[in-house]
Parts: sequence; structure tokens; C-alpha cells
Amino acid sequence: MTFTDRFKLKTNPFRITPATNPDDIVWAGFHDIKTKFEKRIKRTLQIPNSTLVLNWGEYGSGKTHAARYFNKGSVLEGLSQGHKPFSLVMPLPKGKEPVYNILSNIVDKIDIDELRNKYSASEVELNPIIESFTDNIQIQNVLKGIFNSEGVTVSLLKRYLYGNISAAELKELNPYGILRTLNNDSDYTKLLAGLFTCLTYNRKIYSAVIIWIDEFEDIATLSNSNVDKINNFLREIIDNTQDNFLLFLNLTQSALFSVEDLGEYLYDNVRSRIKERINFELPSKQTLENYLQELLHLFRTDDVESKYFPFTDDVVEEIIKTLGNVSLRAFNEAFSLLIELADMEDQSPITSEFFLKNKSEIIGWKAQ
Amino acid sequence: MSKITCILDACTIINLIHIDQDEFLIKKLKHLNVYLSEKVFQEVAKNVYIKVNKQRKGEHLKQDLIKSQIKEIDKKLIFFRGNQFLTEHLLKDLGKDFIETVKLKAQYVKDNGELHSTALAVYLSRIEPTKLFFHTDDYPAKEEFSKFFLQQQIGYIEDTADLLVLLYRLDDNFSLNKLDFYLSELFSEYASEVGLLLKKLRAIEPSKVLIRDIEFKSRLFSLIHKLNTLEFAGLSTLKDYFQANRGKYSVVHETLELHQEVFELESTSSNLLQKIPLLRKDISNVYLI
Repeated sequence: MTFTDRFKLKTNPFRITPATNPDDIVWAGFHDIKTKFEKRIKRTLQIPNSTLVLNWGEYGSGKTHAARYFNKGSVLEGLSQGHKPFSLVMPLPKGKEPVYNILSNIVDKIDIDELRNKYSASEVELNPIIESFTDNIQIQNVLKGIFNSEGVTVSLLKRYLYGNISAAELKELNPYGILRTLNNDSDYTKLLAGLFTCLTYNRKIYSAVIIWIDEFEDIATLSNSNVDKINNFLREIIDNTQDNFLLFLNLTQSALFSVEDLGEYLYDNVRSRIKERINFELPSKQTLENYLQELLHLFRTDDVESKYFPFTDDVVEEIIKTLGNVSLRAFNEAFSLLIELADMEDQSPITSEFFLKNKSEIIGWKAQ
Repeated sequence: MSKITCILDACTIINLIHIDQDEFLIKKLKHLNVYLSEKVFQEVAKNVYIKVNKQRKGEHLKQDLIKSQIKEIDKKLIFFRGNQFLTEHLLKDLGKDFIETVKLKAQYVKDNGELHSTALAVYLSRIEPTKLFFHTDDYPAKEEFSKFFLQQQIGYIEDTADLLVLLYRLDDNFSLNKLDFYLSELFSEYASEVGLLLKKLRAIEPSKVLIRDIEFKSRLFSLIHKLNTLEFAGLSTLKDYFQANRGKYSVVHETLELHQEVFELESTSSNLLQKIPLLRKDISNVYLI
């Protein structure tokens, strides 16, 4: 008998780490949090402003999952009335040049050919916008080079943006007014802000730019100079991208980073730009029950008689009681192990007797 | 000639090379009599490029930045190469079995840079009356040799953070801000490795074969817990367990092998990641005339 035949589920729905394939990313329960994100994204798509939002929670509380879910094309399409936003999830860069890493991540995601086609079809005249955005001629010419389909070849332009260009290749860019390489954080930030402004001008190409910086707590592992660089970048990108820009920072409490440390790593001039803080609280019993029901429903292949099938009501009660106040990840982990063991032992439905018999293998090993 | 002798271990040298900017620290080291054993230099030469290579594979890094980082390392290595104390000189003066004797007396089992540094420390402490420090960030080795250093009245075993404070107090041009900058860079060297290892371990999901293996799950959980809480006592025992069972637990074993630096932090008392933030808070207390 297969897993699906036994449990009437497409696959094991309990993930310990968030899915990466958009098709596997679903949202179950946690309606309050979901609504907060939907409202925030819709507001960015409707009102021209630039917003910084802090998502705060314990490890395993669902922040990365939220980022990946709201980065899904289909989800963003559902929230948009016109064009979709340009959205990207990236971890906090930790190398020697964090701002360059951010630029590279964004360049990775941009299909310049597609962008040029969209721009041609939009009938927007970007040159005046670019010229009014900055008086830095070099940045102006790079931005014009990105959007002008008659101009620089895409592969050469990408190499230029990544900073991997030879002196001879740079000469090929000279006729377009690009006379030097991008070489500092100010260049990278200005270019990104200009790019975001162009991408969302009059919402003709994209309706907004949404960036999620995940694992932001890793800022506590960076040296002072990189903490400075990240803070300067955040302040400048928000100030220079005045409209249609939404930046989420996902923050996990850790031994290196607690709520009290926030001021040490996010400077006043960045913290003052935070518009909202979304807290991922530890789930209550009711929240977990809703989550479980909805998650199982999303993976069902057939009608079933009880709401938690293949789990009996009493095993759900027992696990919630046994685990107590823990993160969603710990809850998923226990259910994942339980269903895998039940699959191995051909046990369905999964009862509290089965759980108690296998308790040491499911949660017993967590004793310190 | 300085009245202070510092013997540097491989991890300290590698850390200095990584955090130093414009050879500021290397210039300051000239206030000291710096020595390193030949074995340590070999370890440095072998391991100092690992970080750049990891960056090259794991993240965006401009080609010219990689090249300039390698060039910088090569340049800094020149200083340390010149401060090597050749093993043959040691053996010529104190006999062929000198290192073996130290190994025996210190009840140490490995033949590594720390042992050779200790042997060099014994030698230097005996031929020249000097205030002697052995700087290493390998806390387990530090703890293993501390009794021997005391018993033999050789000098002190300290870490790179202590060395930075020493350099600060010896040089008027080493500002308090600079000291704080380098302490934060040193902290980042280790904290980022701990963070990276923690993420990799958390992403490991037990395969079907290991789903009933309570021993595996509990040790992996314990390892994650120690890294998450920065309580590193007992880390090497866990590492040894995964190494001894590397056939079965290859995923964990291979992951741990890639982050050897983390295991240098194991300490029964305060570790470097706990020590540096406290040091930075009290930094202005360092008395200068």
C-alpha cells in the first residue's frame, strides 16, 4: 500500500524546513499573520510609498515560509490588480562586500531581455525619469543601458553589473557613456534605487518592488564595518526609492541577537523608518488545530470522515499537550516523524496509542 | 629587541591575516619578538586560503576582489615566513628527541602545531629571560597545555583577542576605535562560522534509515543546541561520535569537517564568542600611561 493509499494524502505535508519549489509552498492556518502580510503588500501596490517592515519571531516560527509564500507568482498575482510586483527573497549577505552581494542577487533575478520588451510595450519614456532621479551621469547611463534595447548587449551588460568586466570590454561601453566600473556601495545602492524607480514608474512594468531579506539576525555575526554597510544601504535604498518599494527584514531571536540588541545592529536612522513589526508568536492550541486541519485538507486526495485523518482527535490532543509551548517547526517535526513511522508500520489511522508507543523516537531524543 | 616574546599558533596567524587591513596589525607585531614554529607555518600555508576558496564557491565575489584577497594574503605571509623558527635548530640545540620529550611531559597525543609551539616556548623560555606568551585561539589545546605551561613556568597561553589588547597598549598609534574594530572583526570570523554550521545542521532531515535512530537524533539535537546557545563544552565529543560513525552519518560528519574552526571554540569556561563582547564593553578600562 502506498503512502497516498494509506493516508489519503499526496505526500507528507509536514515540512521541517520551508519548501523551495513554489508549487510545494502552501499556506495553512495562521490567518492573522497572513492577513497582515496581504494588507501590507496590497497597501504597497495601491499607495505610492516606501516601507520597511520587521518580521520578528523565534526560530521555526514560519518567517522564511511566509517570505517564500508571498514571493510566489500566483500569490502576488492574486494580490495585484494590474501588473505584478517584482519580488525577491534573499538571505542577509555575509561576505566582504554585502551591498555588492545584494546587487548581484537582484541582477541574477532580472531578465534584461524581458525587461526591455516590457518597457517597449509600456510606452513609458524613462530617460526623463532617470535624469531627474540622479545627477550622477554614470549611473544615469547604466540605467539607460539596461532599458535601451538598441544599446549594450545583454551578456556584456550583465558582466558589467556583476563587476566582472575587462578593460577592453569596458571600452565597448564607452560609446554609451559608461566610462568606469561600479566600484563602491554608493554606486550599487544608487543603481538599485534607480532601477527600482524605473521598474515601478507609473506601475507600467511592475506594480512594486518587494524585497525580503531573510536571516537578518546574522547581522550579529558581522564585523562593525559590515554592520555599518548594511545600515547605510538600508537607509539609502529606502530614501532613494521613494515609491512602490516594500522591504521586509526577517529576524530570529538567537543567543547572539535578542530584542534588546536591535538598537545595536539597526541604527536609529534605519529603525525610525520601520513602519510595522509583524510578530510570529508561538502558536496557541486553537491555532495549531486550525493549522493542522487546513494543512491536511490541502494535501488530501480523497474525502475522509474525520477532520484530522489520518490522525485521530486524541493523538492531536496528546501531541499538542505533550509538546506544550513550542514553535511551529517543532510541531511539524513531531507530526512528520509520526506519520513516517506510521507509514513504515502500516498504521492507519494514527492513534494516541501508536504515538505513545513511539514517543521516544518522536520527541524523547530532545532531552538535553 | 622587545622584552616580550610571542609565539603564535596557526589559528591566531590565520585570523590576523584575515582581519588585518593594510598590514596595520603586522606592523604593530614588530613591537614584539614574534616566533612561530616551522610546523605552524606549514599549517598556515595550507589553510589560510580556505576562506577565500569557500567564498569563491559559496557567494558572489568579484573576480578582482578574489585576486586582491589572495594577493593580500601572500603579502602578509611574507612576515610570518620570516619569523619561523626552524625545527632543525631546535633539535640541534636540545637533541633529536626534544619534541617527543615535550609531548611526553605534556601528556599530549598529537603531533601538531600546538605541540611544536609549546616545544618552541620551552626552548625560548630557557635560553632567554623574557615575558613569554603563546597565542592560540584553539581553546581545547589551550586548556590541554595550560597545566604544562604552569608546571614548567614557561609563560602564558592567551588568545588573539588578548594579543590585540597587548598590541593596543604597546603602541600609541593604536587607537581605542581601532582595537574595537579588530575585536569585532575577530568576533565575526568565528560567529559567522558558527552561524553557517548551525544553519546547515538544522537543514539536515533524518533519512528513512535513521528515522528510528534515537542516538543519532539526540546527538544532532544536542550539537544544534550547543551551537545555538553558544555553550560549546562537549562539542568535540559530539564531533568524534559522528566521525567514528561517519559511514552511517556521513552528512553530519562531512558538514562538521567543513567547519573545523568552530571546534576551536570549545571551552569549559568562557569561550571566545562570550569573551569578545565583554571585552569590547570594558575596552576603555585598559590603562594607558
